[in-house]
Amino acid sequence: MTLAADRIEQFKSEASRAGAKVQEFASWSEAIDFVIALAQQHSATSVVIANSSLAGLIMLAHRLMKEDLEVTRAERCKSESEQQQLREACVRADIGISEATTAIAETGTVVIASNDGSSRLIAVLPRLHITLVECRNIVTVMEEAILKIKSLGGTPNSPFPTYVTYITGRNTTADIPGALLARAQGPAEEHILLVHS
Amino acid sequence: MSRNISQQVTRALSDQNLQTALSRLVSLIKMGRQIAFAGVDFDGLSREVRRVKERAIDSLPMLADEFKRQATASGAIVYEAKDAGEANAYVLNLARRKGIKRIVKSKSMLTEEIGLREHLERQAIEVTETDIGEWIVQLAAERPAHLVGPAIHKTIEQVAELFSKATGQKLDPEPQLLLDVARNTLRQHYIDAQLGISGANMAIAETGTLAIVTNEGNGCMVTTLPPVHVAVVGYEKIVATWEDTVAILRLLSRCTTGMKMPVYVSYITGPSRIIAPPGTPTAGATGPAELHIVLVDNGRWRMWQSPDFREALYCIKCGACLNVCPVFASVAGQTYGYIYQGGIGAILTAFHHGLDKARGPTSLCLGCMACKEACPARIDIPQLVLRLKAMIADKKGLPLLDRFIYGTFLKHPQRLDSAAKAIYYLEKRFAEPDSMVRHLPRPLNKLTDTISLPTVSSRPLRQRLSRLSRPSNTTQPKVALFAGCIGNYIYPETCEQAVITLRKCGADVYFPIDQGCCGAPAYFSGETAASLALAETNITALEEFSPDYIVTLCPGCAVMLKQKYLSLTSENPSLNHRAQVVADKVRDYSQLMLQLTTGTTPAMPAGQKVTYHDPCHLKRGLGIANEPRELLKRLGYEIVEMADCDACCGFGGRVVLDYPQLSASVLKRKLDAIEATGTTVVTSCLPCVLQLRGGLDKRHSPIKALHIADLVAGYSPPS
Repeated sequence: MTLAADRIEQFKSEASRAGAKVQEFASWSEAIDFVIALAQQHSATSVVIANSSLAGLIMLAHRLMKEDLEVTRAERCKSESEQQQLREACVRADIGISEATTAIAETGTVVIASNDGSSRLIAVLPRLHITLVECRNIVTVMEEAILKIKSLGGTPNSPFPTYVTYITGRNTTADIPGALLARAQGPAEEHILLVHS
Repeated sequence: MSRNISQQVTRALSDQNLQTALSRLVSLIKMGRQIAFAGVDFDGLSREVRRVKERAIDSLPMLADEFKRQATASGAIVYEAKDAGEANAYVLNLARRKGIKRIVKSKSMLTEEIGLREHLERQAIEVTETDIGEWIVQLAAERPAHLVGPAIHKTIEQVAELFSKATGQKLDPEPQLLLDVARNTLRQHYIDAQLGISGANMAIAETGTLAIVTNEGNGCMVTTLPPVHVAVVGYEKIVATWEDTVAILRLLSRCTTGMKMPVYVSYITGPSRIIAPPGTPTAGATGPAELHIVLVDNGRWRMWQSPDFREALYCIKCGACLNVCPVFASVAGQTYGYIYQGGIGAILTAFHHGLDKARGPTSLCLGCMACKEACPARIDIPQLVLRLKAMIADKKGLPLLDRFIYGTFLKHPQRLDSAAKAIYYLEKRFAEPDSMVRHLPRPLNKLTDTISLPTVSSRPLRQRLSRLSRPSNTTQPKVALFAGCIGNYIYPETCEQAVITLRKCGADVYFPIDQGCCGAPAYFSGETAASLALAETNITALEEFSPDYIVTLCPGCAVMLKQKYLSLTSENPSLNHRAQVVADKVRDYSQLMLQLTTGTTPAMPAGQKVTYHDPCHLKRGLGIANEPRELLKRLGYEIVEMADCDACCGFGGRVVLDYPQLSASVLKRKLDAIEATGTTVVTSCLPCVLQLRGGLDKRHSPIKALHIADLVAGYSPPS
């Protein structure tokens, strides 16, 4: 196995162990088909998609709209009223879709960076959260992830990202007496789609 | 001892719900730790955390300035609060200025420390705790019982009742239903809230970033949904760089919940913003338009200035020390009376709430050192607790009785002999034919409620071995026996057996007649003057005849001779040098036996099974765990390991005297583990023997507890 393949395997095993559902796809179109199927399976009616310049995510948005889902795209929401609508859409949405800046094999963590708070609402409020990770963005250890994060900022036009969120596995709670329960206050399912592009 | 704490201990020990939940949680945590640390280089990772924290705390004034500068540049508003009053007033004024009536809050020890929620609630502002466990505790108007499980003392029925009252609907005690109700109810609170309050696990100086760790997802919502976010952060959370957070993240959750990583780590730099082309950021967007960071002192800078206690600022509030603390496992958190619990809690309480508040918590320490071993920042918590005890003893004085005992008896071997004689005659009236005392009359009855006591011997070891007060000038190694009080007065026969066995194995053993108490009781109560006097007496007694080795049957004494005399004498170079000479010669009995029997083959009946209890001071104090096992194996015994073989027996510190029921609760877990093996328990510590034997007798167990010197008595090396 190559180093890259090792990294992917380690990421998959760590993220699964922490409770995430990880799938690997050879292309964007396969990943998009999977998302559509997932949405249907969960009878989802509304989706919010985080800010992204990824061509794949834009394709995904178009496909979801074709399936008659209500799709809200964060990057389209600039004005104050649009922002308010985005916030409400996050509260209401069945599915939130994010793009990972990087992912860490050591811990099975996806890293989502953005300046806008919607990236965090999309990750925690909807019932299902899907993170798309380009395989080439997977790093081995946390230190490398930090190098990537630091490379995002530093210029006057693009300040250091306000929010960098690490998500490892699925949220759970043991606070209700006598039971360890999945889905504390975040999504019921945490999906990670690894895409070779 | 504090009366208030004493009542809390009794209350916790008799709360059946708490005890059931605790024993379940403790075994869950233990399992979690095993999984989380399997194949992990804890030593290496904790060294890394230590390095990061040392570096950060050493340059804290500079890093705090850098953090302020960077956070302000990123658009946050930084306020520095000297104390709880200033921090609370800042948040209250902010809320008033903005007409804020509803607040959501995520878990933060610091906000508990300063009483922020209560302060706001008194001004009719609604504050909702959003960690589900904290929310349950808030609804019940109580304090968290456990760091990992704040509401573990509640039953599902009680939670159903609390949620029913909070939501106005009748809810059945179904875990899944109650969780759904909590999630939905809290979610509306986030949406309606005008302000979110969080703490921070780390604050990064180079970029002015906060790092916040949560598992339920509530932290993400508290810091993003309301239009204003206030983070209340202690200065000690500041680290230099992003890379520094990695070391802490690698251990934080492993230590807290047994998870490899927290589910959510949020790095937040400034308020939410949209970058609208051509590059002009607009604050607001879908996250909070305002971020306030309240940096809190409240005693932290005083801690920083203290060379003795600065180390406490390395604490990352993971709770590993509590998760392994045998006292915490028995009484949980509410017992300590203040926010921070366990040994490290006593230190933090002293600085944040006042020295007088720390006396009770320090009295709950067994000195077992399990916390020191588990701490990811390698803080020597037991040593800090001792320093605190000494400080309290200096400032407030020891209880009269303690001072009387240390000053009048411990320092003078003859007076100690007379006192032992008096106890012998007193005990004789209550002793049964087998020399055990099972019932003492009031007010001494609490001493025999939980263990059966041995009687003080009519002839202390000093009398028995008076003929052996000097070496016989053979070519064999000269070995001085240091007996300690329990060896001298309670178990002189065991010591005599040890002398016989060691002589048979080729040692020229003698008993330095001027030796006294090792000083541990005074030292561990914070009475340094008395222990220093004893150190000098014993050093003088032990250097006569220049022995090759000094052997002990009590690891508590060995730790004093080997380690504590060095620190006690540090200000007197010549005495310190003599202490070092003594320290280098000290050997545990099994260590020396193993050395003397090298190359011999077992002569004892083979295949007999025993289980071995690791004394705290031997294993964690001196790092000796293999030698006794090796010796047992060499002599032909088969060792059946018990669960938690190195857990404290409950005899440590003064807990056995001050809180006998608590000591008994710690002992119960030990005895259960021993009985499960069904074999004789062997240990290397006379005080442990006293405790184990007394406990086994109390529960009418057929199992015997022996010192390893008793077990190998009669052993002769093959000639």
